[in-house]
Amino acid sequence: MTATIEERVAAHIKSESGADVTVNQVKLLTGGACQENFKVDLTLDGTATTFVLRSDAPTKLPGSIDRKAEFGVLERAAAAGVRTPKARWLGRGVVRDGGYAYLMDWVTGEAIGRKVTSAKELAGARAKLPGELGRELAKIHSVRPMREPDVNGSSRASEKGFEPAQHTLRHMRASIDAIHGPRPAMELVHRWLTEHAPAKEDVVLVHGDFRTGNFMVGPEGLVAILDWEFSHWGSRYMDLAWVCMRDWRFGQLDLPVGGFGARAPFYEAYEKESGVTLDPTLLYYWEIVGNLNWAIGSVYQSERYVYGGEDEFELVAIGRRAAEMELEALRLIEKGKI
Amino acid sequence: MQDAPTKETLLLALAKFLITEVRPVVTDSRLSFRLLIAANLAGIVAQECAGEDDQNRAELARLTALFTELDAEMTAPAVATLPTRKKEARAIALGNEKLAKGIASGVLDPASGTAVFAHVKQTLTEKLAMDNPRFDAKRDLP
Repeated sequence: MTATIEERVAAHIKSESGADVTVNQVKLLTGGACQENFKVDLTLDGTATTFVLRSDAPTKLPGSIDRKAEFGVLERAAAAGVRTPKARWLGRGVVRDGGYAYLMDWVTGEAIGRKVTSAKELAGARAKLPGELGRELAKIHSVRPMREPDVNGSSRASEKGFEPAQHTLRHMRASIDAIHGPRPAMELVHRWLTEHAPAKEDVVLVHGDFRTGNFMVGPEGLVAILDWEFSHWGSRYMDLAWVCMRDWRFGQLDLPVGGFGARAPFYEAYEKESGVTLDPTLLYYWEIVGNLNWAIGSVYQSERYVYGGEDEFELVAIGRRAAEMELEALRLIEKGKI
Repeated sequence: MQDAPTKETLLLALAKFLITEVRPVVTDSRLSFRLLIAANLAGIVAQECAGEDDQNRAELARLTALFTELDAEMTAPAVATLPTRKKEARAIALGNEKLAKGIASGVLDPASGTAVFAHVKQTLTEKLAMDNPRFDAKRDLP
């Protein structure tokens, strides 16, 4: 790769779109563990515009998908009417050899958790968000594996015997086993979840990281659902519960939906859009799943520092936070309901 | 043993320096946020220095109530020359192995209301008292 990144991105867009393209600047915005986002300023057939370039990172996180699979998911979500930035021009080797990348419409708004939950100018948006998110989530979950033969391992998820809770329990079991040292609290929660696992649930497209911080908000309300790298086939309740977890309330503990809303309007909007009546027992079950998953994730982050050769200091800082999620899971188990 | 100031004092001085002197002159918002995390880490370690002996002793006492054989671990000839603090750490690590395996295998009953559940909850509460004193474990949430 001798050309500059600007030249490579321009050549890629030109070959995909046929348009006359000049790329002025490609600037790294955020480098995640499994993907990188760049801001691309360009001129397209004489019109100045801006895109986001989303590329595979050199490493992956467990459970994350690559940009190729993500592109497929985004296309299906957009077709289902989900508000998400339009994705186009998937290609390989644009940013790095072998890695996939695509371009996405540039959307403006606020996604930082603390700002979404407390910025004055977003007060009106916060009042509308639970309803908007309930509707968007129902649209995401309208995508079903049996109708999507080639998206992200859908064939296995379409099988009769596929049970989302069992799939998640197996995944968490393997993750706990991979952690260095014993974790009695995780074992306790995992055992409770095994003993209380629901038998049969619908299999739907799950966003996989549906929470404050991963959607863009403007003064008028929800702008777009972002960050699809953990999307997979599973239980609708995984997404419904994740956004309500204690840690995703960003300190606004009395506002269970994302730190800005009550549960009822969120659930009601979801039910109305989806035609599904939500089961409180499953909302409760999957909120405990979410806490265990995030406890495991926190430890995994610090293990990347301690054992994985990464020296990003925020990674090591997060490990001790696992106890918060472990204790929250125990609180829910003791309480017996959400 | 080192002379004063103690390690807790040094760590708290470091945290205070980062917050009161460095952070005000940092204009980059990401770096400013990371400084907060750094100061917080120093605070956590200071808390741990001050409280870990009591914390470990309490955890070991509860583990020994669950696994009486841990008593023998503390007096075994193999550990005779180790300082008490190291003996306790070894026994706690062993106790947690037994606890984790016992819960996973089904040998122990970890349901709400059991001694196992109470121990795990108390241990997490004590950890959080150091890692995040603002975490309100008693509060009911909607």
